[in-house]
Amino acid sequence: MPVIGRMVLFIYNLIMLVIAGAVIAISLGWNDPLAYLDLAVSTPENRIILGIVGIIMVVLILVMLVWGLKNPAGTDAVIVDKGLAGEVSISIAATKVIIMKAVKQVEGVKDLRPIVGQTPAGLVVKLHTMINPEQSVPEIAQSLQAVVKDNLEKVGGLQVAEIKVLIDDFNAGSK
Amino acid sequence: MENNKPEIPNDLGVIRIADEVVSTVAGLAAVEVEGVATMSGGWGTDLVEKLGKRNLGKGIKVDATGEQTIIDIFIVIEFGYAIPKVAENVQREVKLAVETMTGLTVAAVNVHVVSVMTKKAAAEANEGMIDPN
Repeated sequence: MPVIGRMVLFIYNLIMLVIAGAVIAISLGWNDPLAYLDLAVSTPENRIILGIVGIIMVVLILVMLVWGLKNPAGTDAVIVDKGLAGEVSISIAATKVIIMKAVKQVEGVKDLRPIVGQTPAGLVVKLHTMINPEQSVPEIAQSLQAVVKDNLEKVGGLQVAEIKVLIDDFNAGSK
Repeated sequence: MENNKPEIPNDLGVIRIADEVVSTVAGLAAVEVEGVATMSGGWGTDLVEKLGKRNLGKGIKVDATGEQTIIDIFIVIEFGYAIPKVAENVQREVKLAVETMTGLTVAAVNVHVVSVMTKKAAAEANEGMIDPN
């Protein structure tokens, strides 16, 4: 998402937060927001300001709608190849799917959350995992690193710089 | 803007080909490549398609200003296929189809792999589309 898009999203969320807060407050019996609303429409000047705020909100919503409809999903991508025929890139989301599929080959992994970043040397992958307690951590970590690196290189044609395995938790329910 | 579109002149006049035609040709060529599960449009395009209007140029962006045409393709690849190989085939097939059918010169075909899905999920995604014919 470009910087301007993020700014629009931030302002939009802020406005929505204020409106949601006011609605919740009114529903709980706190009438101050209604009093402020009465005040806001009490004079022609205030009505003009309220109208301008409304127009800004409509513009923000329209910008977000158009932006959402226009852009194909998953444009945050890693370039695999750049040649005469054109460029080949893989979205970060697609690399995560490859990782998730690859990890299924490793026994003892109960849950996995991959975080993928990129450096000039290649992909940097962090694997937040939950494993069975009876599994050997160094063994499972090595297996994960090997299988993920192999799949990313063979299936995705991607260069892998580093794979970090972080054991977040053990699956307490396993036997 | 329209004046920048590539033209094919002949004795009777000039032939101009709309971007939509190029994207349809490119889309049809791309989905035929083995390993391509489906094309990936924005969520708006997907929603319209679910409502029954099939978009053959979905996931294709055509930049046909000037002499040469640049095509950006957003695809979902079937799990198990080597992505660089599938992407290379897509580039070759799309370039060939567009150049043969339209006579335009394709300078580059940029392939963006948006996601990877299993054969089963791909079949379900493609079944969801309603064919107008």
